[in-house]
Amino acid sequence: MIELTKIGPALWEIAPAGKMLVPARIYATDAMLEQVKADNAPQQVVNVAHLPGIVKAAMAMPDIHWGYGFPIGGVAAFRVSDGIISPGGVGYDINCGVRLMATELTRKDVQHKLSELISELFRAIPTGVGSSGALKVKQDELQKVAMLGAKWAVEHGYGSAEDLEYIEDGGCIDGADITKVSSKAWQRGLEQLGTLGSGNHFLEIGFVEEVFDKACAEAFGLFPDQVTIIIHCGSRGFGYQICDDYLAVMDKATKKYKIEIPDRQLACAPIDSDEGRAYFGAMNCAINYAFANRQVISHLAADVFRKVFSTSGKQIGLRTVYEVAHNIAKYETHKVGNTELKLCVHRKGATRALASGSASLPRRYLNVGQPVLIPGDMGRCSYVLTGTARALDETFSSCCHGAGRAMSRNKAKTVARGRDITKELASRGIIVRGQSRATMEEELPEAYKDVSTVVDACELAGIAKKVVRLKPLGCIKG
Amino acid sequence: MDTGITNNDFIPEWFKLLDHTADTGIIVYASTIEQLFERAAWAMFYVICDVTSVQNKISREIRVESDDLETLMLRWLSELNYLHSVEHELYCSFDIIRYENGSIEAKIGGEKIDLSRHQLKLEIKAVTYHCLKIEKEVKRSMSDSWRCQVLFDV
Repeated sequence: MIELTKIGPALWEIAPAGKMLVPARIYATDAMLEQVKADNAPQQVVNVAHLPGIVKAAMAMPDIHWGYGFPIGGVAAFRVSDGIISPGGVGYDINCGVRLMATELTRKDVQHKLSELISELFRAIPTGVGSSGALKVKQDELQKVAMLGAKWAVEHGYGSAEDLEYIEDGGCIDGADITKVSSKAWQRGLEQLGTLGSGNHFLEIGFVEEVFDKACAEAFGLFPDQVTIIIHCGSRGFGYQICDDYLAVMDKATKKYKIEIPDRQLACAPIDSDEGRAYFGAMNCAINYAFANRQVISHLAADVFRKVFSTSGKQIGLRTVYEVAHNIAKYETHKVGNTELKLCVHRKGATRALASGSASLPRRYLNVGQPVLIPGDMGRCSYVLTGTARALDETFSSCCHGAGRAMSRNKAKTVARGRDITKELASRGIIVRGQSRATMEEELPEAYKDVSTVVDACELAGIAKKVVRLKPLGCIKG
Repeated sequence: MDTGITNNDFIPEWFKLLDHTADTGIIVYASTIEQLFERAAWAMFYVICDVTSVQNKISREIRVESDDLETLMLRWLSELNYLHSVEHELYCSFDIIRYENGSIEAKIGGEKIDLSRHQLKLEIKAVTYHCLKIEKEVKRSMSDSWRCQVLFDV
């Protein structure tokens, strides 16, 4: 039986025991604890605490739930010198992430055209199972995408160079090695650039419903009633295949390097090994693919806005507020004790959350911190938060990434039986278009936990603070 | 294998959907290993699409290998998902032509995705090792002696 000791207002610790190298820590309120314990996720945090080179603690954010090997909501950092890297610590959808864009339009400006807007977005942006066809690239061009990320997209006319400043890592991560990507991954990636995919991926139109921190919201360029766009998607089949390929590689590597792991799904390799470097190089290709993917989708969405509102006489003013990755492993330097260490930080369903003053922030946000984008379900709300000094201290500048599912897909379908989810949402003023009825049912709002409780837990723990809440107006899904 | 099933709401008695909060999976029963592979493939396409609307127009041959049976199942289903993804095809017919220790050869049939006729349901990111289990002789009934469960990352 796992014993959790409360060590902060919304922080629980499992002390090191047996072969754990560091404590396991879970961010959650008292009220959330039962649900957190309901699946095997706390044991998964404990398992991660066994992995070589881990520093400080194996952590999980308040949206913790069971994941493959590492829990979703997991954060763990390993010394680059003698630590490991693990595909299970990143997930299948490498660099799944979220972009927030802001317009100069208000809710009133779009209300009468909302239906047309959502239909046009649905037409312009491929969604759904195996969606393809936004743009076709050849493999040599795709290799450039894998090297350059969102920069490739900007060079090819998708969006503007200004966007890049407002993407984590400038939308292009170093260390991509195209020789480490399998031909299957290239094949899966060829036709999926600029596509949303299915499942929980979406593009949502919303508005700023409430401002919690006026100064911060102003710095982010956000104001009440302002219309916003959230894009949630990742590296598509390209990333899934890379993860799949390297799980097999790591399975062998774990044995080869005699790494003791409590669960086979934590298969890993030393960062400083052929296998570790190969995965890192291939994963970075997928990170860049996802950055390019969201840049292309943003551009397609901007085109739709210009088309629908060109005659409105209003300034549309689309601008990228920020884009975050939430499935990623990357090199960062953090203070551990009194020493600055180069670490490989794994965030799996967790978001980087920089506090004010960080050198990695765009100048515009230097005094307020990084916008942290936390999408909720399609009926309730989403949040923009910002990072804190405590997050820098405690969580390698990380916080939660979303609501997390409360129901299985089958259960959601059962709950949705006999209901018309699209109609129900429409009666609440939210227009949704999806490729399949099944997706609508599986993604119904109550299938998710309330994102507000997750965000409140982060704020209570002091690892993020609320800036604004966004309310959905419409959404396209796979 | 052709199940002859035409109503997608109907799930054959040898197949159950596995309930898991974030992911989805299948449990299938069969009387032989070959049938187990065939049924697992059919069940995976039940998760992806309205498999009963898919016609057998294109055929392909596949060979996968692995030393252990569970990994063989994982590779078989992964290969089908890969082909579905890159060829934009759906499959409804699966025949294991040869099963030998460590490898299977199969002939599969299906057609190109046609959104006017095919309802697509879910994208499978990957077939995972989690909960992957193949067991013999669960004695659920006299005829069914193999059971397989697979979880998909969706």
